[in-house]
Order: sequence, then structure tokens, then C-alpha cells
Amino acid sequence: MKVDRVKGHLDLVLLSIIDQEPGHGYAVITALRERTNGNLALTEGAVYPALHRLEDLGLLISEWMPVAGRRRRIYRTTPTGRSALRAEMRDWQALVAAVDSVVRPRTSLAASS
Amino acid sequence: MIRNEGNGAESPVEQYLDELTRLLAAGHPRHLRYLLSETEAHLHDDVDAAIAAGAGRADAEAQAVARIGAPEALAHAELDRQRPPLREIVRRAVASGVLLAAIGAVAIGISGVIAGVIRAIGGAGAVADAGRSPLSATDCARWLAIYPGAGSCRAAATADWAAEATYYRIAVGVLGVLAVAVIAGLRRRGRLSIGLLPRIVVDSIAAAAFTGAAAWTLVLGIDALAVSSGRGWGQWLSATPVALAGAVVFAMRAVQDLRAGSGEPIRARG
Repeated sequence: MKVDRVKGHLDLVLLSIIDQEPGHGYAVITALRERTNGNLALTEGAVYPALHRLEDLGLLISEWMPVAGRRRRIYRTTPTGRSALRAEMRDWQALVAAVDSVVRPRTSLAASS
Repeated sequence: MIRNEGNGAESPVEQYLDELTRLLAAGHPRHLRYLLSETEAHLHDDVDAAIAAGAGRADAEAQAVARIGAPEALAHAELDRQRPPLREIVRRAVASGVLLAAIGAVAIGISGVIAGVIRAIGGAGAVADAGRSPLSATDCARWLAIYPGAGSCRAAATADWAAEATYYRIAVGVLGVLAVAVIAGLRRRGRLSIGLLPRIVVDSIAAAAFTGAAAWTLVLGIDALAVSSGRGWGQWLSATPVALAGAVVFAMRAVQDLRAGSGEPIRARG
């Protein structure tokens, strides 16, 4: 998927991953890479300013912790972040359903023609 | 852990971090440290993962740097995030303006006290000049009612204007002291969370304003004393030393700000 398309939904993707499992930036990026089989083309560095922005908005909270010998900034969702995530998911599902209803071939019409 | 101990400068990861540090220099120091720590850990994690998968260190570092993206893009995104919204800048400009106005009012009050001293020593004519223009009968009646011992309408007018030049300024000064006290008290108790413009900006504006006021009142005072009637000079020259003192204090603070490098820009947070 093109980078600009991913960027439009980066908040949803990041909130979703971190809500399921709090972690540091690299872990989030690795999870993103693994779950999408690398199909979400994303410049990895873009994730960090996005995480910081979500923290500015109060949707994430972070703390420094030592992990595997390195100092990591661990992110987790706040209650506000979880509410925002639910709202984003509803919007996303509505968008997917709307687009899907347009682009999917209508079987009844296809069968009658 | 230090990588490529032999020559860190040739390591793509070290070069990337050096470049990122340089590009982020304009940002908030804490955000710079945070992003650098995260980026460094990220790159080393990625290098370790690639080496564990069988890549050589040089290739692993090159791949990690390529995947994380150009340092310019990362720095730009981070600095853009730190940039405050226009509303915040306007709020800070207004707050700084209110504080400077309060300080200016205090200075006016002090000049009123000095004008009072000049008036006490040199008489009302040293502080006010009723001039030679005709005075209305109504005004004369009012002034003479207030100053019955003045002897003439013009002398009563001079006495009234001298009193106004003194007491009105002192009243403005009292309001200024109250305003400064309220602002300082609220800020100390954390009830006023609005920030100010960067200190060097506030100090520079104050230094320029006080310098302008000092020059303006000095010229008018000299004009009144030496060029015009020789009366009323005190209303101007009472303000000159106060404005000059304000100019010196704020100019020194601005120089200190410059030397200390505390001209820190407005932050979105932190």
C-alpha cells in the first residue's frame, strides 16, 4: 500500500497496536511489519513523531524503561486514547463498508445480465 | 553499547545520528534527547536483527538507515510537531503585552513620585506649563475654586495640571504594582498557566520601549527647559531617569539572554 494512504490511517494503526500490547517504537514497527507481511509501506522514522504527537494529544502515555539492556520509551494507551481508538475504528469500518459496497461487483446484477 | 569502536565516523548509524542531532538542534533539548535515544535504540535493534538473520554489519547498518528514512524527514516531522499553534503564540503575545504594560505602569508611577518631588521643590511651574493660550472662564472658575490662593487663572491651571501630572501617574503606578503582584501571585500558585514569549523577545521589546521613552522625554524636557518657556520641564524629565533605568535593566537582561543562549523558542509542550 502506498505511503500516503498509510499515513492517513497511521494514528489508528499505532493506537491499535499499542492498545493490544504496550511497547517501544521499534516493537510497534516490528509488529506492524509482521502483521502486514511488510505490505504497509511506511518510512519507519515517521512512526516516532507520530507517537510523540499522539502523546501530546493525551492519547498515549510513555515512560522510560530498560529493556534488553537498552533504555526504551514504552508507550501505552490512555483511557482517552482507547476512546479515540474506538471512534477511529468505527469510522474506519464505516469507510471500508462504504467503499466495499461501491467497488464489490453486485452479484444479483451480474447474475441477471 | 558503542558500535564500530574502531572508527565510529564511518558507521552509517553513527553518521545518521550525528546528522539527526545537527538537524534537531533548533528543537527542544528534551525532545531532541528523547528522539535521539529512541532512534539510536531503533537502529541498533534493526542492525542486531539483520545480523542475527545472517547479514554483515555494514549491510545491516545500511539497511537499517535506509528503512528508517532520511534524517531530514524525521527531523522535519519532529520539529513540525513541536511548533506551537498560532493561537498559543497569540496568547503568549497578549500575556507578555499585559505584563509589559503592568511594568510600564509601575515606571509611570515612579515618574509620578519624582514629578511630585520636583513639584515640591520647584513649584507647580516646574512640572506644568499653562502656556499662553486663552483659558475659558468656566475652567478658570473651576481651577480657582480648587486653588483659591493661586492668585490668577493661569497659576491655578498650572497648579491643577501639575497635580494631575503627579497624582494620575502615581495612580497608574499603583494599578501597575497591583497588576504585577496579581500576575506574579497567580503564576507562582500555578493558577496562570499561560506562558510568555521567549525571554529575550520580551526583554528586547521592553529595552526598546524604555529607550524610546527615555529619548522622547529627554528631548521634550530639554525643549521645555531650554528652548520653550523654561516651565513644565519636570513632567518630562521626571520620566527620563525611570525610562533610562528600565532600558538599562532590560538591555542587560537581553544581553545575558543572548550570552546564555536562552532565547528559547515557544514550544508546543515541555
